[in-house]
Amino acid sequence: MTGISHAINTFFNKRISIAPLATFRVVFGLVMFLSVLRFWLNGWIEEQYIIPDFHFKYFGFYWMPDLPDWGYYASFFIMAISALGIALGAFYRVSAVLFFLFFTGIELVDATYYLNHYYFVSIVSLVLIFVPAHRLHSLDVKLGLAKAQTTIPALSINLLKVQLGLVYFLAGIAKINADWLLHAMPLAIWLPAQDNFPIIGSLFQYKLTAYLFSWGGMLYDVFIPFILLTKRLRWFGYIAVIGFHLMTWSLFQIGMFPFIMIGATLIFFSASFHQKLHSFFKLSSTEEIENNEPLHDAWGWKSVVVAFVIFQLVFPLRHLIYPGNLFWHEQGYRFGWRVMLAEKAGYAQFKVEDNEGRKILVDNSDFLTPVQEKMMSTQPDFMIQYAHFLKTHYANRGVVQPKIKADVFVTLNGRSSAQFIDPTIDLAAQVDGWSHKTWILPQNAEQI
Amino acid sequence: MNYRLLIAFFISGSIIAGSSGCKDKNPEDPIGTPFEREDMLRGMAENVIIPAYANFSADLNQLSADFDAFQTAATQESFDVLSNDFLNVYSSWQACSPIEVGPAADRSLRFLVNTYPLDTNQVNSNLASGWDNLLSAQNSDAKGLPALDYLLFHSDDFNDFNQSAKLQYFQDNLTLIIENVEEVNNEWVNGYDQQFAQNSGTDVGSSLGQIVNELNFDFELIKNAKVAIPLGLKTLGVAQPEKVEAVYSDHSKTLILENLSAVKTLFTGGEKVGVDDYLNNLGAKYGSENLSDAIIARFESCEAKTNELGPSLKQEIETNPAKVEALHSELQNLVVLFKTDMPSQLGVQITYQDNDGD
Repeated sequence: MTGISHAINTFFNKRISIAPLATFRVVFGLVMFLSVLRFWLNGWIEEQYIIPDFHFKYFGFYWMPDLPDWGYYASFFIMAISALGIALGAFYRVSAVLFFLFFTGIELVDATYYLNHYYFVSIVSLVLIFVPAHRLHSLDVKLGLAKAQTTIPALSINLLKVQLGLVYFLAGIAKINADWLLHAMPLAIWLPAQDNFPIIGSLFQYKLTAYLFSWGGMLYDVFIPFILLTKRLRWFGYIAVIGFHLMTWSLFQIGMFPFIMIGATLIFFSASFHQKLHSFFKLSSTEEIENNEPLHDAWGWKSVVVAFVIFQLVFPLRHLIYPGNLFWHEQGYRFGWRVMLAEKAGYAQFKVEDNEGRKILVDNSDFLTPVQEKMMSTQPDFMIQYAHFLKTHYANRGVVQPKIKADVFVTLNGRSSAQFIDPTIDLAAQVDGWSHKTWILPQNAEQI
Repeated sequence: MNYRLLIAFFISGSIIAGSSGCKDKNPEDPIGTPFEREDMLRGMAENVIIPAYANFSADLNQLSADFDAFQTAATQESFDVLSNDFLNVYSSWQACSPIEVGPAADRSLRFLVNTYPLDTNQVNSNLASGWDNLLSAQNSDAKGLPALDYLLFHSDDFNDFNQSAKLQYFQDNLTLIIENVEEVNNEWVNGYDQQFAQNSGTDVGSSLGQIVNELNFDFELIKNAKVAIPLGLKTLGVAQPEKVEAVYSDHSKTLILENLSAVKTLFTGGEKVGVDDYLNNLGAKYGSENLSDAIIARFESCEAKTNELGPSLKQEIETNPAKVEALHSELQNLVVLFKTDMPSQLGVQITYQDNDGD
């Protein structure tokens, strides 16, 4: 018992250098600032939030309202300022709270744009609210709003390491499936499409390359947390981190994710590494130090942290309760660190049927943007939301007791397209929930 | 953590990676023999796209010349020549309809040339009280080939056409189309063909990405605008036969066949290398057959169902809707392959936005 309680105590309370956390704060804040800027300059605020007439919601967040147009710009502006606030350590807690709330709030407006790394950003910014990342090299310290510290309770850094480790590890576990490992799918489709890639592009025509990338990716994800935790392998691991993420960044449209991870994994380096990094940037060590603040000592806090970690471990695996292939039915797919695992395309012909069985064929482009249509055509919970939207729309236009049915065809990882849902079911009569959606047809057994 | 153990894991994993591949065909074989997308695109430009504009352009010039002849000597005979020219123009447009990329996309050529159903009220008010600009918003449904179709065919009597307002409206529409098509054609033969071929990636702005999207879009127009809407599939089964394409010349069926053939030619690259060969090269299957063969077979079913219709689509919708509905089902079957299997196997992107692989 003393061993365990000692370990727990070390994990939570041991005083360790604040230096890695200060670096993390600056890097995360800056990358977030650049991400917001990039999003804005690409015109995506308008394209993703203002143009669509209809927004898909996350289960449990149907109440999330659409904002007026200026509300989106204001939200992104607050995100940009608060990301800078995090980086500079200026009004740090307020900045962290604002960033977390507005970033997460905007994500909740439309689930179409769900990306694992957005979820990761939400989690990290939530954690940042509670850790004293501003106690070194920050404006708050300079302005006397916070006292400098050289050490902090280990939990602040350990929690971030655990979270990062879980992201990689679970992403690796998710790659242990037949399509990925035995058929090199979807990379066997995606790599040949990138054969213009400099130098090694010509290798992408070979299936062996897709196999090497698939297995390499799986092994990388599963083992990189442990490699980064091991002092003697850390530099090797970090070079792998940079190589892996730059490769995926140049091959695929995955946005800022590679840079977030390259920046975030610096936290695995030692305090002395970070101190050298800080002096390289001519950041003086603080003189006035106050170290005796008792933080996170109560058991209440510890249980919250433990519950959080357990949740992060278990929630991504919730798909195990559903029958069939997760990549086909996508029940329990999101928030599971499943990145670049499926080449999926769907076609959904929705039909409105009135009480006499007369039909209207729906043109999805009348209501959805191309991205929304693409996402809806493969994701059953979006089909329910869309059906409810259509029902209201057509009922308002005088269609009597509309039923909403759909012919949906989906192709997954190179298999022939096949009917995806029961075409006779009234989707507008369905309610989304945790239970298995029995109207999703089973995937056909075709080999790739 | 024992780092030797980790390294051992890594190495053994790599060995498994190498060896497991061997179970599945021969992994050292290329997925396809090296395929030059650039050559395919250059071929499409040379053999499909530029000839399509050249044909359309030539037919337009013939129409223009015979229109001048009609104005010099307005007879039933010169009117019949003119009408026949017009049907050729409408047919050869169908080959340009699916290639709304580059210069055509810049000018929204499809919208300019062939927006239907025609707003006859607007046309009549233009004829009665004049028009300034055919490109204005109020004339968006009152111009192009549908307007010519109306002027030539809404009355059997050529004297009805031979009125100054109608002749001028005809002339202005014809000039608008000819000018735009000439510009598009010039851009293609003066460098855009190279630009098109060199943009040989697979992202959304790539030539292949654009062609796949436009091919899809145009095919859906066949399904929706040419068939579903007139058939009443968007209006609770209430047929709207007056909304067919080329309603006054009653030429809709032929135009469906021409458009199907054009989309198929774009897919196959004509006699040369096309998307079908690229799919074969990638080993794309549908069930046990080649995906490209499945697509061609469904094209043939669509053509067969169209050929089963009587000469007037409008009349078939009124008297024989089941046959038209059968055509619609076949069109839908092909849309499925066009929207799911084909883009998925090609690995083309539909958006610039970030994704993490669905």
